[in-house]
Amino acid sequence: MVSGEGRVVHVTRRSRKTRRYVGLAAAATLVASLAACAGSDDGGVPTINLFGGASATGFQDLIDGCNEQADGAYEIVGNLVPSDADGQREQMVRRLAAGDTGMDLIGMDVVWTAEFAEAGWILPLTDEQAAQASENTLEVPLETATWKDKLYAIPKHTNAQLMWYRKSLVDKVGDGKPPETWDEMFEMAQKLKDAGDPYEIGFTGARYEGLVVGFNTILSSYGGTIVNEDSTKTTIDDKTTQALELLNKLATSGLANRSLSNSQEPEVFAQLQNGQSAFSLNWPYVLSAMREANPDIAKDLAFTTFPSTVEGEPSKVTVGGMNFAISKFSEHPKESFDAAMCLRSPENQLKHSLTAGEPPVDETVFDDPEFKEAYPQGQVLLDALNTASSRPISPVYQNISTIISSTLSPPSSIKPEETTKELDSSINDAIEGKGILP
Amino acid sequence: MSVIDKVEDDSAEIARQRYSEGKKAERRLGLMLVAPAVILMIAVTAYPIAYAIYLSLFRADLRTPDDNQFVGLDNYVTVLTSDIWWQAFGFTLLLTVVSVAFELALGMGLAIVMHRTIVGRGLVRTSALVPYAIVTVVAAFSWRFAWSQDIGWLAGDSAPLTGQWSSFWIIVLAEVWKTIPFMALLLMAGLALVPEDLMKAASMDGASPWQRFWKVTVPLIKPSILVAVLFRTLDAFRVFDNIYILTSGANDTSSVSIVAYNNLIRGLNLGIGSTMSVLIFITIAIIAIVFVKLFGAAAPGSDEGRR
Repeated sequence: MVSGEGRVVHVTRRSRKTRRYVGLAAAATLVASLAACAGSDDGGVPTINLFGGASATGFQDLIDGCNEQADGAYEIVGNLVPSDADGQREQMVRRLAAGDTGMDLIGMDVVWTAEFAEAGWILPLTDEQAAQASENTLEVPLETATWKDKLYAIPKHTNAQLMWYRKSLVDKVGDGKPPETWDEMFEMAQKLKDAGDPYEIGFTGARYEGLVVGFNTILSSYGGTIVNEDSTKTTIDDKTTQALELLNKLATSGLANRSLSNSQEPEVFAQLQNGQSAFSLNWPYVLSAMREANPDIAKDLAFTTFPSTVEGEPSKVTVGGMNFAISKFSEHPKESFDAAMCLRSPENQLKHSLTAGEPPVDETVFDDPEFKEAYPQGQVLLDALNTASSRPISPVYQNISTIISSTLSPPSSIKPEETTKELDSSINDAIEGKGILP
Repeated sequence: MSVIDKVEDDSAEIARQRYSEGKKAERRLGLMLVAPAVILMIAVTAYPIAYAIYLSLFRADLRTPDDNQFVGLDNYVTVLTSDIWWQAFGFTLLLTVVSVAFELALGMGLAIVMHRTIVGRGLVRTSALVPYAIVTVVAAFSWRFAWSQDIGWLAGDSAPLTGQWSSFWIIVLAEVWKTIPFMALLLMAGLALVPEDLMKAASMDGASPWQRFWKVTVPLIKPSILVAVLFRTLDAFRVFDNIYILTSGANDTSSVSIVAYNNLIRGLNLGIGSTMSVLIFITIAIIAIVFVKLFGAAAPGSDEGRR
């Protein structure tokens, strides 16, 4: 082979020396910052590191307020976490699996309780603490914080979907009363479609958590569940098939938006905003957001409880929200509890529901005049929350959720009988830890 | 035997002894010098590989670290009989072949441009390297926004990242754009070895530029091409960041690495996740062996390297 040196080699050689210095400098900086990290937390005031929820609008004010109130008993520090739920969970799990003492208070999505508790990563509340945390707290949010009869977390805020609809359109095809059941809604939408009016039903049908939330609401409203209480086996039966039939009907009736299988909350909101939707199943934020996005539609907008599946019975909407849990590896579990209780005190819940629009878990806040004024949908929401359902409470929830959203996507491809069997076997595999995730 | 002969013989013997002693000492020194590196390599590569193989034989979950249960090859059966795995495997393989083919063709073009530029050579070479210098995740975000419905300047009101094939081509585009410079750099190192005299001689004999390229340049830089293609193939098969950002595997666009990540990091299933990692490792090893044995690519580090 011909020998000779390429010119590239010279280029690298020239810069090697400089690069070494840069590397050294970078290493030195790293060591210095690590040392700085290790040096903290040796003063008198215990630092409570909060992960999750700290970057919500106006939350820093609550933290500052609590720190002032604590008067040296503790100092809460809000840490930044990834903005998406999956990213947050990943970071928390990594820290917990590694036994990180630098994380005390965890702002958990309501569906992570069983997983973190089963792994022994979060501390169960003592009886006294549990009593404190459950005082005036809504039932279903508490349920989401419970695993095997023990309360593992302190509900912080909750949420539930409502049905938003256009008053003028509902007036046109009915006696002005919004549909109470899915069947009524389909009927009204069909009439609107026949008359050439906007008729679409907005629903979060994309392959993601929102589809699981929607499916869980329908299934719970039929009285079905996905796993048993201890999450040892599936409870999938003909109710599941019924729920799948309804979901499939929505997708194939021609009454949903064409991009149903690609719609997340922003898309569902946009379909309502640009006048395509007559009905829209979405979270309570719609009203305030619509006032800014499209005042004309906002004026015509009304809300009611989520449509039910069985006539005369209320729907059972799926709750969202966040709970505070205390890490097992925290060096200040007692102070962490106090800090959490301060952050979610009724006053702070009220404040936060006004600044960030996150509905409170404390019943008494719903009666507050200030809340009622800022939150006209409060009463409907409270009614919905009182009959709400939670998503399957299971240590392998993440896997179950992934299986449901991928099996049900796109909703138009659901074959009720077959899909039921498919769900049953893949979720069973997930519970036994032998299935694989897509 | 004469005295002189004897003396010569003795000194030769001594010299040989000294030589072999010296060689032994040298070898010992050599071993001692490489030992830290070898130990480090074992610590950072061999140990994790061995541990992954070990974990792949267990039903293991990060949430229940004390509950590991030996299941033999069960995990391999689960993965290898799963549609999800083979779907991802096929997608990854196709993605690898298509993107490496484009990279080779375009990378060769860029290499020739960089090699032949007379004016502003430094500028041309530096600017050609820009895509490679940008963090993949950052570039992937740019592509994602560019192809997002209504907000992206490339998308208009279509939503190409929601279909399998349109997503496939966008992933290929992002991969190719990102790695052409790497390909071009390796190929340019090869081009530098083609003697100018040979090209002139070929040109004297009446070879057209096209013929000179195919009959002179390509055979001479074949080792460079093979090394470049080998490196890129191994890289492309493990594609992760571009897909993670662009589609995160929606619409059947998961690569094997994405599936492994979903099981290992999201599902916390150490057993299945490790099994997938081991399978990816084996596939990579097979690709490398095929290249080295069949096409005669020089194994990285072997003597008959690129020169």
